[in-house]
Order: sequence, then C-alpha cells, then structure tokens
Amino acid sequence: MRITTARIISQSVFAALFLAFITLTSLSMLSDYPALRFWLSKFLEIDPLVAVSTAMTTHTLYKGLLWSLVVLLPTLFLGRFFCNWVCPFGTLHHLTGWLFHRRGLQAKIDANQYRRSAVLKYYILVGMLVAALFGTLQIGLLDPLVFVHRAFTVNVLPLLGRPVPALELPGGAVLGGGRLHQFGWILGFAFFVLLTLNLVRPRWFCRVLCPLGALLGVLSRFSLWRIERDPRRCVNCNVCVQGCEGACEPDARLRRSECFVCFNCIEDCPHGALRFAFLPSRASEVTGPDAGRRGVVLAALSGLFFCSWTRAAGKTTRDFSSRVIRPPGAVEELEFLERCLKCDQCLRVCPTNVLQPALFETGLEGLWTPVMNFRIGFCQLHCTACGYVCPTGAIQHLTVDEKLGLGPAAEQGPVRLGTAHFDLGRCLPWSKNTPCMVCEEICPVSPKAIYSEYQQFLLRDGRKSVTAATANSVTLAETATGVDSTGAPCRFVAHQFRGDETASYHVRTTPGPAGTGQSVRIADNNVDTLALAAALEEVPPPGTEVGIYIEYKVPKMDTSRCIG
Amino acid sequence: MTETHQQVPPAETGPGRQLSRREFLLRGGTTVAAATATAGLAVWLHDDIGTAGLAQPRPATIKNYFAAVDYPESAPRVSIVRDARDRVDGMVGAALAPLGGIERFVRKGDCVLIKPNVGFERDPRLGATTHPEVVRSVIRLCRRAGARRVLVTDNPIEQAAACFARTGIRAVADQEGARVVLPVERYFQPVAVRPTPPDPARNEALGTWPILWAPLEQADKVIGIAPIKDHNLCSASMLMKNWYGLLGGRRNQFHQAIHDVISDLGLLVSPTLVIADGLRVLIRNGPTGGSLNDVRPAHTLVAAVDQVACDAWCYENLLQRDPTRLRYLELAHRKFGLDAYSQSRRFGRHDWREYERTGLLVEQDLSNRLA
Amino acid sequence: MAVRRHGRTYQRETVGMTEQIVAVVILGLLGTIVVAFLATGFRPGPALFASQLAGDEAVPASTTTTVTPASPDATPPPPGPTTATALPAPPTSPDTTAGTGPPFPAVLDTDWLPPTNAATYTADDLWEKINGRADLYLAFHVARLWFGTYRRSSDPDAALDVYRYDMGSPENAFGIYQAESGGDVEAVDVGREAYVAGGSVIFWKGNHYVRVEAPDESDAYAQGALAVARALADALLDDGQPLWAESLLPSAGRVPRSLAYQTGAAFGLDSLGEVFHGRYEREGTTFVLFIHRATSPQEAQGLYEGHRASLRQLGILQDGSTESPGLLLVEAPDGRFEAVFVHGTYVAGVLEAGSAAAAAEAARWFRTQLAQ
Repeated sequence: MRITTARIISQSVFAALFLAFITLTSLSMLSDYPALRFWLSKFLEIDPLVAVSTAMTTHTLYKGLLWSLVVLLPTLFLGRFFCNWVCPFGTLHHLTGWLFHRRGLQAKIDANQYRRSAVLKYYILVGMLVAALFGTLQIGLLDPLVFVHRAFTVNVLPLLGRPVPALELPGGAVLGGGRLHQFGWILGFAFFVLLTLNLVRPRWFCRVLCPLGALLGVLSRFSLWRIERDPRRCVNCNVCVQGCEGACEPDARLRRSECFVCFNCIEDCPHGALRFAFLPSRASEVTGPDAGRRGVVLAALSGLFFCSWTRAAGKTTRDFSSRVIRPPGAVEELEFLERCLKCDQCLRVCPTNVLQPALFETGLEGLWTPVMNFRIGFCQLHCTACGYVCPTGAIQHLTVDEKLGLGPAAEQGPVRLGTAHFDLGRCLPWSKNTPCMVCEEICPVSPKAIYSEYQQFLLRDGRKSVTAATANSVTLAETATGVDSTGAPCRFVAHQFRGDETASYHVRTTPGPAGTGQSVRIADNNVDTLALAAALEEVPPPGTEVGIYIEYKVPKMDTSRCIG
Repeated sequence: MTETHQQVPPAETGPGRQLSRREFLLRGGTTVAAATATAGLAVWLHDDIGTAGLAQPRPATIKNYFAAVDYPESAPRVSIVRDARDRVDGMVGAALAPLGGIERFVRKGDCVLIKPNVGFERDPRLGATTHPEVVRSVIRLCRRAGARRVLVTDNPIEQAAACFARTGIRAVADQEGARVVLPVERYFQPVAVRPTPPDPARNEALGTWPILWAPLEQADKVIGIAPIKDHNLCSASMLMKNWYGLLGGRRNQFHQAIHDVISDLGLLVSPTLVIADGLRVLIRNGPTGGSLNDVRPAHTLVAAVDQVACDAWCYENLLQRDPTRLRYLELAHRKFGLDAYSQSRRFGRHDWREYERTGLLVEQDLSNRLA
Repeated sequence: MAVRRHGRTYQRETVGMTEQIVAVVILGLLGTIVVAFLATGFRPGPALFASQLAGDEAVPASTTTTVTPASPDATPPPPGPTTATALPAPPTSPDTTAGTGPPFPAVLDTDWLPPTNAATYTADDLWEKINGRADLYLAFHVARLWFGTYRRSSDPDAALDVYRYDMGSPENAFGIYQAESGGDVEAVDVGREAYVAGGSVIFWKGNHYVRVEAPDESDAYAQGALAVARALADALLDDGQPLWAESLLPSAGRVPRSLAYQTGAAFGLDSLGEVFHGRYEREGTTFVLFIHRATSPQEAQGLYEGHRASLRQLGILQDGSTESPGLLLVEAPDGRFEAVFVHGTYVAGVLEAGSAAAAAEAARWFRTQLAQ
C-alpha cells in the first residue's frame, strides 16, 4: 500500500466523517442519541488554532478542546500533515483543484512554485492572535474548519429544500426543508470565490490565507521527520514540483512550514531522490516561514487596531442593539465575543431556524455570530441543543429544567432570552378596531405572560345624533351602520359584524376617545334603532350625540413572566 | 505569401469557388432547419393573452369520509365512557361498541388517517395534545379491522418533528406500525371548501385554501381525536377546532373570525368518526397550557359520528360551560346540520340533549369493571 | 521507472516495507475511528432534553385565565333569540375533588396551618425519606409519597407530620394499612378505615394511605391529628366500592380485623401474589382462608397446575385428592396442613389448619360459600 493511497483514503474518510457529523447535527438526532454530542463538534475540537486562541482570550481550555492535542502533538513530530490528511476544507480545495487541473507537466510545475504571497497567512495569524490577546476572537473568520462548518450550514446543506425538495429521514427529521439564513449570500459568495480560486492556483486558500496552516507551519519547525532530497541523485528535473500540494520547493531547500506532507513528490520523483527522513540536515531546508520582522509588527498592529475599531462604536456596551438576542445559555456579551468562533453549529442544530448569522449588530467583531430572528422562528421551549454543540462554551450546556426554571432550577427561575413588546401601531386590537388575541393564544407559559383586558374603542363614524331614546332603545338620525352583501343591515350583534365572541358593541352617552358617561351594551339593532341590553339611567335627549363603541380584549404584557 | 501559410488551391476559396450541390443542400438545409425549429418553438410557446404561463391552481375537493359508512339513523351517535382508572384500551372499545364497533367504520383494506392534536411540543400530561395511549388504541383497532395502512398527521404551530416526538405520538405510531406524515411543503394543495369566495356576512371564512392534502387524498377513512381544552379566543378547542391542523398557508389571519373558521372546518371535513380525549382536560391557560395545575383529569372518552353534538356535550360536561353561548356550534349546525341526513350524509346537531331524549346518546361507566 | 497502477502513473516501482507497515497502521487507525463513531455515537442514553413538568406544587397558586370584563355593564343580557351572545363565562375554580387537588388542604375551624415544606417522593427515592421502611411500601407498589408538616399558628413548635402515600389501588392501600397496624388498635371513623395509635391517626381511603403522626398522646395533638386526618380524607377520592375479596371470603367465623392483603409471594406459594386472607374460627378449629384473583379461568387453572407440579416434584404432595377432586392437600413444614383449589377465576384455599381432615373440610366449606 503506497503512502499516497493511504493519504487519499484518509482524506476521504475524514471528509465523509465531516459530512456525517454536520448532517447529523440536528435536534432530533441529539434527542435520540445523546452520545452523538461527543462527536458532532469533534472537528472543531481538534482544531489547534481554536484551542490556542480561546486559551488566549479566556485563559482556559474549554472541555473538549483538549482534543486539539491529538493534532498538535503529532504536528510537532511529523510536520503539517493535518492539511493534507485530515482537514476537510483542504480536501475540498484539493478536490476542486484536481477536478480542474491543468494538463501538461510544465503547467503543473508552474502552478506549484512557491510564491511570496504564502507569507500572508502568517501575518493574518499574528494579527488574529494579537486581537485574541486583547479580548476578541476573530480566528473564526478564516480558520478552515470553522469556515467549512459555517459554509455548509448556511449555504451548502440548505440547498436541500431550495430548490431541491426536502427529504424526510426515517426517525422523523426533515433534511433541508428550506432553512433560511439572513445575508447568507455573503458567506456563500466568499465560499464560492475561495473554491474557484483553486483554478487560479491550486490550494490557494491553504497556501495564502489559512491561519491554521500558518500555526501548524510555525510548529513544523520542531518536527523530527521531514521530506529530504538527496542532491546526489537529484537531476533538477522539477518533476517533484508538479504534484507538490504545499508549494514548498522540494526541488530546492524544502520549506518546512509550507510542506503538507502529501508524499506526492516522493511518488513522482523518477530518480528516487526524495524520502521521508528522520532528523535530516538543517542545511537542506528552510525551517521557518518567510515572514519579515516588519511585516509581523504591522500585522500585530493591525490586530491591535482591530480591537479598537470594533469596540469604539460601543455596540457591546452603551449602544447595545435590542435586536441582539443571544441563544439560551449564552454567556455575557463580552465573554461571548471572546469565545464564539462563528462556526454556526448552533444555527445548524437549531430546530426552528430562529438563530441567524448576525452582521454588525454587535460591532465588527460580531459578524456571523448567532442572534435570534423571531420573524423566522422562535426558540423552542424544550430545546437546549445549541449549548450541546458549541465547542468553546460561548453557549453553555443547559438542561431543559435550567432553561425553563423547573424542578431543581425552580428557585432561580427560567432563562429570559428577551421580552416581547407590542408595536401598538400594528397591533390589530390597539389600533385597527379588530379583535385578535393570537399572541395570548400562543404564549406557552402558565400562567400566560400575555393577558388581556377589555377596552372600548370608538367606531369610525361612531358618533351619531339621537332623534329619540327610551331607557332601552335609542333611535339615531343616520343609519346605525352599513348594509351587508345581502342587503340586510349589518347588525351590532357581535358575531355578525365580524367580531368574535368576546367582542361586543356599546353605546356611550358621552362620546369621545376615552369617554365618560354611561356605557350600555347594544343587544340588537336594525337600520337606525339600537335595542339596548340594559337600561340607560339617563336617557339622552333628542339632538344630543352618542358614540358607538366596540369593546374587546386588548393584549397586555406581564414582563415578569415573559421568557422570550 | 510565406512558407508558413497553407497554400489553398484557388478553386476552393474566393468568389468563384466551386459549390457542390451536396454541400449546398447540406449546409443550406441545416441552417433552414435550425431557423424553422426556432420559429416553430417560438410560435408554439406564444401566449397571446398573457396568462397562460401563470399558475392556475386547480383546487381539489375533500371527499365525505362518512358517506362510505353504512350508518343506520337509529344507531347511537354519541357514546360516552368513563373510567376512573383510565384503562384506555377498554374505554375506546367500550365507546365504539354502541356505535357498531370499529368494523362498522373501517373495512378491510382501508387506508385510515388519524388526525390527533399534536399542536404543541408538550408532554402529554399537560393536556395540550391528544394522549398517545388513545391514539395507540385506535391504531390497534384499525389494524384489527383490517386497515392496510394507518397514517397519523397534523400541521402543528411549532416545529413538527419535535411536536410528534415530545407528545409521544411518534413513539406510539412507530410501535404500532402507523406512519407519521410530517407537514412537508409539497403535501399542501389548494382545496375548495366552497365554490365562491367566502362571504363574511354569512359567517364564511374559507373559500379555497391550501390544505394538508396528500394524506387526505390517500385516506379512505378519517378519524379525528382531539383533547378538550380551554381556549383564550374561542373559549374551547375541541373536535371541530382540531381540523385547524389541516390548514396551511397564512392561517393566522383566521383568528379574527375564529367562530366562522371553526364552523367552516366542520364543514370542510366530514370525518368517519371522532373521538374526544377527555382523559385530561385543560381547564385554563389554554390552548397551550404549560402547567399541571391547569389540568383536571376527567377520565372520559367520547366517540361520536356527530362532531357538533360531541363538542357541545364536552363543552357542557367536561369544561362545565354553557354550549348555547358557544357561537361556532350554532354556526356549524346552520352550515351543515340542518340538511336532512339523507341529503348531506352527515350529522351536525348542536343540541345534544335532543340525542339524550331520543336515546341516541349512550353513557357507560367502567370504573368498577375488573379488567 | 514509471508504473501505471489503478489508473495512475507512479514513478516508483517498489514500495518499501516500512512504508507499507505505516500505511496499514494508518488505515487501522482510521478504521478504529470510524468504528468507534458508529458504535458509540448511536447508543441511546439518558435524554438530554427531558424535563420536569411545571405545576404539581403542594399548594397550587390560584390562577385566572379569561379576565373578568372591565365593562361597566352590570347586568347580564336577558336570554332570548335576538340577544347577542354574551361573554363566555370564566371557568369556575378548579375541581379539586378528582384526587389531584392540593394534597394538604386547609383544616377549617382549627389553627393548624397547611405545610409550607411539602415535598414529594417517588418509588425511586422513597428510601431517602423513610429509609428501611420503604421496602414494605415498595412491596405494595407505592406510587408517590407527599410529605408535609402542619403547624399551629398559636404554637409554632407544635407539628404534625403527614405522610400521604398514593398506593395506586385500594387493594394496595388496604394492604399496607393492615400490614402496618399491629395488634389491638383503637378504631376511629376517618376515611375507609382508621385507627389511632400513640396519638397518631392512620387511615386509608381510595388509593391512598395516610399517616398523621403526632409526637405524643396529649389531647392537644389528639384533636389536631383527627381534624387534619378528616380534612385529608375529605380531599381524597374513593368510589366506595368494597374490596373485591370482602364479599368472597366468608364473613361467618372470620376474626375481626383479620382480613389482610399481600402482594408478594404468599406463604411459600411463589406464584401467588396479590392475595387476600383472613383468619377464621369455626367449630373449634382455627385456620386461614386465602383467595387470589387471576385474570381468567385459564390462568387460574394454570397456576393451580403449576403449583401441583412443583409440589409433586418436591415430593410433598399427598394423594388425598381422591376424596375431593381438584384439591391439593399438603403438610406444611410446621406440621399444619394446607389445601388449594380453583374456583372459576380464583385460586383459593386453606392454610394453618390443624389436620388434613380439618383442611379438607374447611376447603369444602369455602368452596360451597364461593359457589353462592
């Protein structure tokens, strides 16, 4: 078995595992198989950059992030094998590049030459780590594992459902189903561009932008094994370069920090001049990256300035946007921004699609962090799945009891995501003389946070003048109201005037928006006479005005009970 | 001319070149054919009026699922069963017995659709959804009567998969071999409830509306199983309101004419059989409930072929309220209960005491039975 | 030098041994990861999203739903066909007689206050509350325990501990009641049956078994305990039906208060649980009659046959069966005699009879009583 074959199998296996994990990340899967929790965020947990940067922001290593040692330690011995053996994003780029590969030996050799642009990723790494040092976690913007999780969540997997129809899986989950992600096209565009850049140069992202690759490249300096070229056998034919994934110059002094340990060069060399050697000489390699001191300092300063730019707008302090509703179990905002990778796994698992990638509601640094959009979904009551997939603890594990304030958590009460408010200008009962109360119907807590009160509202054209009145009836100068489609007069009997059972009509002797005087319910009416349900104490004399009011329930909010 | 240019004999190019007939026919013919095809396609697709390409929904109509049942007019129409020990299997069987047993309703080879209330993601003990054991009993009975397939469906307000899971209905369906049909987008089709647009002055709410059509189309028989619940808007959510779970589209707007739409739902679906789940009655904070304090165990099941009478009885006896004040019962009676049975093949009487007087309402108490 | 294998051109012809071993090891590692994922990931486990239910508190807060109308309209509309339908009546206060009302009701006309420390236990954690005694309750299939302490407003130190057990069925409640009442007790009229012992009032009613425990026998507590017990009994549902065995076991000759119920293996008859028994004195002899109700005559017959088979195997069975067919007659290890027979869905018999003849005679008498 050739080592390159083993490598291809390894790439395929990890790519398949990644697809399996991200597809299985759903509430119904976690409900049925809680043990999946160990696996679903595994790729993010083994990511050393995630571990290093969150260690810098939070000074701790959250739970599963200890698994990053599984990648870190072998990298210290073997070099940057992760990029070509494990990384699913790398596999994706590798696959794209291979599908559109250049023909001809010379074209391939040209494509895989080392370019100075490869140093950019080290500057990016430095900038991001400096930013992390000062309390804002931005590695998630470009970290490959985070990026690929996010891209699949927001763009690739929702393809199932739109335009491809949703699939119903056995066990009840619906795959796809047209999940919505606000501004998802931005991310999709970036993803698409990065993939197509493989046509310009193979593995462009991995070589030029990837901060994780940069970190692993820097750590490669300690590796004990490395590709070594035997100059006595080498005839400088450059064939090794045609398959070189890392563009690490195996035909000259090998650049350790760029080499992906793909073993293609060893396979391709017609003269057997390359081998994977233990402790080869320092003279035949370039140990560290090509980053100049000035470049590093500039990168560090950029990271520092970023911190200032993003906090300067005050979006995380005084100017906190009311639209930013974080998932249940999320830690306090500044700590959240120290932890959130923007991997969007919480979006993926959320059953109701309420979690959405933010834009800049919490400042620059909040890009693609999860916020709730209650027009798209709502936070399902008995679900805390977001906390179970979050790899860094930006969203803590909550049991459902803790979230709802039941059982052992009854004393501390429920988690309040936010408080609902009525927009009285839109609310049908408050401003459009139409009974509704659907909000109270849906309110899931008991007793309900939304309750109702009866209020009266003057009808349009509700002021009428009286021609005659007795204690139990009032005759008006104009028609009491219009006629319906059958030509019969519309009657104030509530259910026939499209009100519901709980609405009724009243006549008040002192018309006005918040009128005083008597109010008596209208029992029935014909075209111009109202029959009253009770007796008027003071009969209005002819010529005076009365008002016809509709009385129904209006909603009110008890904020002490609303859990958002 | 240099050596690198290809030398072409003069006769092959230029104005005086030799044109063979074959070449003329071949190339000229291909072009003419392409032109003809293009023009022909254009003419074929042409839409002079302008509306030919627009989606023209051809609304379906729901069949009367009771019409296939040979139900004698003298047979009881409402059958009430109580059991202080909540032995559901026995209760369901005993409730169906006066109506003729399940065999009268389900025939061998039928596809039966069971429509429980799975509207909320709630534990069944909270009384907001149909109790899964009742659904289990009914599925078993249908299978025993020879149904070839049993479907269970609902279109909940909350996320469908989670609702079916937490209410226990999915588990019961899987165990008893029934198939849960989730409300996926493509299962909805416009259905004509009445041929004309709805007239609010006549308390009409539905005209043509998207309905969860796919399971209804497959089904030969439809059984509705609904819990009895308080409702903040329409006072009670019972059997007719249960069909709300078949509505798709933007159904929230019907809440402004809730009694109109509930009576229209009774008109929309003429079920084979309805069963009221009064094991746990949600007496306040409905329809969502949320606390065991809102639930009163009433240990009752009602099976009926008249959903209006069943609703009226449950409103009075389980929720202890006055059904003469419940608007949608009267409207339903007016819409489809007034026709003679022989014409409309359905029952819709809101005065359940009439049934009691004529012996068409049967009550049993199984509390002291041994098994 | 170039080699084409599997559609790809390789330059190297041969692959070294080290490389092959390393490749295989790597593949093995990959395989382990995949197998580990498939094996461990899909195990059902403790539910991540299970939760308790709201409500079910000791004293549920009274809540309202439909708000009373704020309309100044004082009188309701007169009934009539043209009358507008009125507002739906708000629901009346919840029905608390269904057995799920407040477990600790207020006690009227006394100064004993309902508990503020009410706690509930299920079969799983009952041990935490009553330690070793839990075994007996578990044997009678206890479903739930509500525990609370009533205190006096006039004397906060005075306390009555109330243990309210939901035993799931009247038989079980009766069974534990009998099991815990020892010897001579002073009967009182509370619930279905009750007695006072050491100042405490213990009774059973419906599915429930309640102990109101007083620290001493002083009068102050005696009255309070009785009042609390009565209040608790009033809040409990009981359909009033007699226990099924009461009419089946003959009343003539039965020693008072000797009717008892047992759930576990009865008297070495391992297959018989859920047995009623009573002590009898008749014609100078004493014996115990027992009866077990099976779910069907076939099951009863099956139990009987099984018992006979095991007795035969043990070599205990006496062939006195020729005298009375369908009767198993055996000598118990303590020298007394037992008889077992089947009657319809019941397996019944005699225990602790002085002689074989007495056992047979008692069985015959029992049988004729059952036939009536």
